[in-house]
Amino acid sequence: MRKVLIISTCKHRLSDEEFVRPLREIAESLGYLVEVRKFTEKVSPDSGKVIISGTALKDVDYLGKVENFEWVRAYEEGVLGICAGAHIISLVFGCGLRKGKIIGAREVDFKGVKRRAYFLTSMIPVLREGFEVLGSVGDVPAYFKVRGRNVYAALFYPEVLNRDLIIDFLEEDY
Amino acid sequence: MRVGVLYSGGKDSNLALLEASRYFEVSCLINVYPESSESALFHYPASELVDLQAEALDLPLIRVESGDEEEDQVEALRRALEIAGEEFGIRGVVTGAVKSVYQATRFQRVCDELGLWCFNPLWLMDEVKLVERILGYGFKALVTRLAVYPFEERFLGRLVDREFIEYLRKVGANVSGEGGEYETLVTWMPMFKRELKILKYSKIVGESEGEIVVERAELA
Repeated sequence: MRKVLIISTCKHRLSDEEFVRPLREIAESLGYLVEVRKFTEKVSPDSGKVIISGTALKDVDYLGKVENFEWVRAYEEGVLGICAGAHIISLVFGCGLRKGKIIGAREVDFKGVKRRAYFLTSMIPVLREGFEVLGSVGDVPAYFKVRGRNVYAALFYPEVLNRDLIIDFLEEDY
Repeated sequence: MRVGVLYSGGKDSNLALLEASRYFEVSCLINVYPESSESALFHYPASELVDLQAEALDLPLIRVESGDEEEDQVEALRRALEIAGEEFGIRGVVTGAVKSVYQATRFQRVCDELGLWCFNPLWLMDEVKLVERILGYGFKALVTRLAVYPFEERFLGRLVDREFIEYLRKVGANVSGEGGEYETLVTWMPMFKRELKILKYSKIVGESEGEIVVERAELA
C-alpha cells in the first residue's frame, strides 16, 4: 500500500483537527496509508511522499525545531510544505523569513493562470537562488519549489481552495 | 489554556465545544446574535434559547447583539471577545466554522487583532463524517429551520437522525446543512448537565421552506 507521512507543526492537538485532519482525509480518500508525526520528533522517512502541515497563526513553536527537518535536504521521494511547512523548507534550504501577514483568500498568479487561494500566515519567505517560484501574489512567493528537487512549498493552504495541488503532489511519480 | 467558544446553539458550535473541552478549559460561551436573519457570519434561528443551553452546560454566556452589516458583525464579535478576555481571561477562541472562507477569514482576523489563538476543529470536515460524529456522540439536535426541495414538513421540529440524513442525501442536499439547507437547536449532548425540553412550538411553513418558533422551553 502506498504511504504518506504527514508531519504536524501544531503545538496544540486541537489545531491538528484543523491543519492535519483535512490532509489526512485527502490522502486516505486516494487510498494512501497515512502516518502522522509531530514536529518535535526526529523522523527519518525512507520512502513515500511527505507533507509538512501548517498550524495556527499564533503558533511559532515549530521554528525552534527546524533542525528536525534537515533530512529534507537529501530526501528524494517528494516533500510538500504548507505554510509553516513552507517556512521550514525555506529555512532548511538557507532562506530567511520576513514579517508579513496575509489572512484570507487572495488571487495567486500561477505563471499567467490566476486562482484564488486561502492564506493564513504571518511570515513570508525571502527566497534566494535555487528556488523556482510557481505562483505568486505580487512579490510574495506563494507556491515554489527547490530547483531540481521534489521539494514544494505552498504559503497558502491548498486543502481549502486548491485540493488538486495536493492530489497532484501525491499522485505524481518522481 | 482558557478558551471561549463561539456558540450559536446549533450542532456545529456544540460539536466544536465538545472537541475543545478535551484539550482546553472552556471558560465561557460567546454568542453574537444578529438583528435579523440576513447574517452570513452568525446564526439567527432560535438564538433566544442560548441562555437555557448555557445554563444546561453550566457555562457563563456572553451575548452581544449585532447589526446586519458586515462591519457591525465584526465589531460585535470584537466587543464580545474583548469582554471574554477581560472577564474570563481567555487566550483562545474556538469556532464551529466548517467550510466558509468568509467566516474563517473574519474570525481569524479579529482573533489576530486581539492577540488570541483561533481554533477551528471542524474545519473542512467531510459533511457525512460531521453528521456521523454528532450522531455517534448521541447529540439531540432539533431541526428548527428547513429549506430543501422537495420540502418535507414532517422533518421540521424533529431530531436529526438517519432518516433525515437519508432524505437530505436523496434530494441532493448537503447533509451537514453547510449551505443553509437546515438549522438546528441542540437540546442535549454529552456536556449538557440537564436536557433542554421544548414544551411548545409552532411552525411557519412555506412552499419550500419552514421554521419552528419555540414558545415554551425549560430545563429538565
